Amino acid sequence: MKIIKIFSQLLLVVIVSIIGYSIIQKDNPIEVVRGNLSYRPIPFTLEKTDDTICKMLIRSYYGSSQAITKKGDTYFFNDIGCMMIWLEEQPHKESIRLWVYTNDTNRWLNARLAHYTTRDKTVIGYGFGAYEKKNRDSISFEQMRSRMLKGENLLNPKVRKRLLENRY
Amino acid sequence: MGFYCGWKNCIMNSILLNTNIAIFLLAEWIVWFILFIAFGVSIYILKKWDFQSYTPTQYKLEKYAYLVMVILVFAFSMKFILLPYFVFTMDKISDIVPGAMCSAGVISFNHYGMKLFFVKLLILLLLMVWLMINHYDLEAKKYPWFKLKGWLYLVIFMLISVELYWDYAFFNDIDIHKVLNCCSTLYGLLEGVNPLPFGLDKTRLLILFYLLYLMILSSTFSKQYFILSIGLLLFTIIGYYSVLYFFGTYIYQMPNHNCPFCMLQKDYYYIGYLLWGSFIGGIFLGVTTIIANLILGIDTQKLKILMTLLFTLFIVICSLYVAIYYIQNGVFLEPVKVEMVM
Repeated sequence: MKIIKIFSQLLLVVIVSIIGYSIIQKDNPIEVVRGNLSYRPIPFTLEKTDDTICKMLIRSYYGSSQAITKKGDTYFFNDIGCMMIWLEEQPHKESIRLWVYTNDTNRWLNARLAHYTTRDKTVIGYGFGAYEKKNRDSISFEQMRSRMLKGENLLNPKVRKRLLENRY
Repeated sequence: MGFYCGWKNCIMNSILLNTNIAIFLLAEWIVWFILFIAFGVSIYILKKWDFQSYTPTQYKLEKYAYLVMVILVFAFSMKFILLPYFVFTMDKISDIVPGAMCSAGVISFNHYGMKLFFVKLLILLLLMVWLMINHYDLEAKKYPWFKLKGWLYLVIFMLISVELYWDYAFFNDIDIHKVLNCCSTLYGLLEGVNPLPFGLDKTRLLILFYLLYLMILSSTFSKQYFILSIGLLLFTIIGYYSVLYFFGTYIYQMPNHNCPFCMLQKDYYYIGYLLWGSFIGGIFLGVTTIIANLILGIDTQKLKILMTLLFTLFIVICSLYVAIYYIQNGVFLEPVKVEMVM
């Protein structure tokens, strides 16, 4: 009986150690960073940060974006379309700072000042790519937002056909 | 969509006319009515009870108490049958509700679902404790725990009344025209997110699964009830996640299918009833054993053996699925990573 007693006590120690070690090592992807009151974009780790809407890991800065609420909560997205879906659900849209990673100058830019192409290859496939410099086909932030919310993006087969045939 | 139930402004959901739901609710109502009668008599007995007294009233009360006990044992047996029937009913409804493939979607349809399920489990646990106290109370001849079990019954009756209301509210709130989530959405793995508790990985989860089983067994028979309590608490969490994210995939033979309910279906030979039944039964018996030893001061060998048997059955079923799969295929199941084609 004494051996069984010691055995169960030993098991308890081993079990608590395994759980304790796992808790210390816990390494879940980041979904939101709180307290960013500078409202500047945060350099996040690729493959360790989740998109808030589609819950996929962000694997590249290209096409990624960030949204910072008035409280300083920072959310990350791997496709600008995801950020538009998230933004639509927020109560005070105007007070939210939006940042996009530009494909031409490779830096973070205020999303409301960026120019958008409609036929880029993006992670989810909405097709909106952010650029700092305006080009012939680019559209403004509000146009991009409107198209995204109306479903006029590359995921819509009819729109896709027209876009790829340069008829949009 | 609905039909008038006869009272003013009262529209009932037509889903309540479903045979399984109607049978379930009717059975719950009958059991509640029987328990309601016992509730009234119990309050009367508890107020007047004096075992030292030799008056005719006390003799009458003892006869009433025996009658109430018989009623309760019957009603409680019905409750033990009604829980699996509740799950079975939800499974049946999933055939008529769009989107749901099993009980998981149905139970998550509204906020009553999970609350109701946990109340049902809590009631069963308390019933098991009541039956244990009742058993030893009768054996003791002098009814030493009569008042304790009487008050416990009053608590159980209150919970059963809440449960009955939630039963009705849960089914009445289900809209068969609304699309529900399927279990893949509810329990599916998010990319990069570890769904396991305490930041465990699968290897450590399985090590803990078997170690906890050994710890429960050794602490039970060495009468270390504090360690047993910790073991049961941890095994409840680890056992659930092990089935959901490891053993379950071998039952379905699909590496990415994580659902605690699908295994209750005919396609999997209803193995979920045996698996979850032995798991929950073992936990309940463990809690009952602890209460019997720590509160009543009774060493319950039968409960301990029964608990051990149930946990062993649970472990054997889980392990056999993995072993058989490995023998047949020569490999273990590995989750498939879905790559996006762009």
